[in-house]
Amino acid sequence: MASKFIALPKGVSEKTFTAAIAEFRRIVGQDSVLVTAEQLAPYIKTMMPVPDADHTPSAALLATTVEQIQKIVAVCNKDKVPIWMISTGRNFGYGSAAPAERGQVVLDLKRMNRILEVDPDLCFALVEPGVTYKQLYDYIQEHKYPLWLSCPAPSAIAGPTGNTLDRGVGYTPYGEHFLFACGMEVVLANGEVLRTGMGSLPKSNTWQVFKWGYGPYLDGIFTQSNYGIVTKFGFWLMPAPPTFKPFVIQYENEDDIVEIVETIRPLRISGVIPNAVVIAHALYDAPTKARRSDYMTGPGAITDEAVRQFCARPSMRWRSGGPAASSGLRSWAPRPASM
Amino acid sequence: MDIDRRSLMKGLLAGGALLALGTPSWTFADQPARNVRRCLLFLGDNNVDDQFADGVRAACAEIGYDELETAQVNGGLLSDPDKLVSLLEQTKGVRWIAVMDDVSAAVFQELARAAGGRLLSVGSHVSGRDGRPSRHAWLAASAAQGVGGLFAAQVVRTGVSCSITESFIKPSSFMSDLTGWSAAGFSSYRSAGPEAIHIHCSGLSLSQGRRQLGWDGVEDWTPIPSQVCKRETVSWQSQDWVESVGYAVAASALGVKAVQESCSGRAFVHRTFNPDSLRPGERIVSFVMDI
Repeated sequence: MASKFIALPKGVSEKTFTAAIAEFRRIVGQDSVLVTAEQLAPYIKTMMPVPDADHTPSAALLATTVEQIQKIVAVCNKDKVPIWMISTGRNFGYGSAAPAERGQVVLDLKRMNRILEVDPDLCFALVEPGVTYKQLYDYIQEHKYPLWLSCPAPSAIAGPTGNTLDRGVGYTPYGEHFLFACGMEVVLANGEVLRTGMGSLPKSNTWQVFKWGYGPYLDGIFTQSNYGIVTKFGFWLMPAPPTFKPFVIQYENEDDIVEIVETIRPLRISGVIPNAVVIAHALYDAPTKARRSDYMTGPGAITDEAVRQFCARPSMRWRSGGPAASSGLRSWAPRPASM
Repeated sequence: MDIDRRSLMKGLLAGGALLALGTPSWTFADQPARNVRRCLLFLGDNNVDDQFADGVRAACAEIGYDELETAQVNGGLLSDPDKLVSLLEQTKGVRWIAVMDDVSAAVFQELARAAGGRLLSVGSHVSGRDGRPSRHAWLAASAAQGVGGLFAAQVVRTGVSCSITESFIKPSSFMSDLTGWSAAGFSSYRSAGPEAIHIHCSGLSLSQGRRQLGWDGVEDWTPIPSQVCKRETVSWQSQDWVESVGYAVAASALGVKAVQESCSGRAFVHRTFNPDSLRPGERIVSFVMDI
């Protein structure tokens, strides 16, 4: 018999799933429950060398409030429907918006995109999960706050909540994003709402200032995990430095990495270089500068010899270092170029 | 990124004239359904924009659709995504026919999804130098949005080697009786199992076609009986594969009803070619999307 869904959650019958969808529609509204192939197709592209069909969702839900999420979780518990959360869904290279398993329901939080607070003195932001770096950048520019964001590689159309929860990195001294997270609001699997750190205290005004609060520190268990749905996320913003001097070391020979690391390591550890230092293979930049066919033809991975030929061009070498910002007192180091 | 939006199609009277003269523009077994809605041609600033647009206009002309609007970005989608976001917001309810490079395509799909876009089909296209041979992979929401048959019917007449694969997110076998696609020179086969796939080979054997597609793993194939096949040919033809893609994509977007096969996916292979010969060529991505 023909199914009305393009996929079903593992172990969930069509009858049960139909009932769950009806409940989801009552919770978030008819138009915020996506089930057709046309609606769900934009969620399927994984950018990974695996069949997209293995990551086809059964539905997508566009929630807008914490209360809706609590009710959705209750339905999922009752009917054993697995959910997969995305904030902006721009996890490029690691599945994007597609669920980990075929048939999971995508809980898309893109419509929860309010910037709740930006404090220019205490240098923090509190945002909902659908906020993008671009949105926050525009907000900071509009208010002329002397603050910097640490934007990751997927570009400003990604968001700080999802990037940090997947332990993403940026290219400023605040580039290790989770280190600068401060306070979360989380809907747990049983529907309870947890605020971490000082957020658990009534009328707290230090939720985004003091990470540790009282008792065990919990925030880490909500990163790269499915123990809860983060609905508010606090993090620190970097004061704009008076000067900024990025640098990159380019080098032709792979063997030079040893000496470069030996040189950079003490500077990084001592804080002279405050940025995360990246060593990047020449092929990391190669697609923007050359074609594969200019250096080799035929199937298979690009050979070492082709890489050596590629690196012989001055603009296409290995890079070492990183974008570096300067406080004016310290010289930021480079980030290694491509590896 | 600058977006230069203009209406280009006001002068396209030829298609309307053809219709007025009663000249059949499409020669299907069934009459094409025309379900034309407001359409926007979006050109993503790559060096095949003009050819793609020519194919789209040819399809519009044959159908007699003269209200196509065009938006062209200058500088690529990555330089200022906000302008694309604005255009998406301004075109709610519009069907987009789009072409761009594969990097821009990743950004486009993300921004379109955020805008509530519904994806009818996305095609990934690559060719060798001088456009030959070429390889095309479509993902369509369902067989109703299929483009591959329209494209195959055209491109086979150019004599250029090509392979076309098409996957349907909602398999048509769940919706209808067995049907098959047919065009001159093609032999058609169906794999065993509930979610069957079809393969149509021209100028090569089934085993050669499977090898060309990398489908060696599927062993159990049976010929599709001719009585279930529907012939699909189109009158317009170009030697340029990009134009042909534009034509087929636009025809699908404008509601021309192609043959819907009872399968979860299908492939068309015309003559053998060395996949390595594709490496130096063009790469583009096409979309049909409702915003």
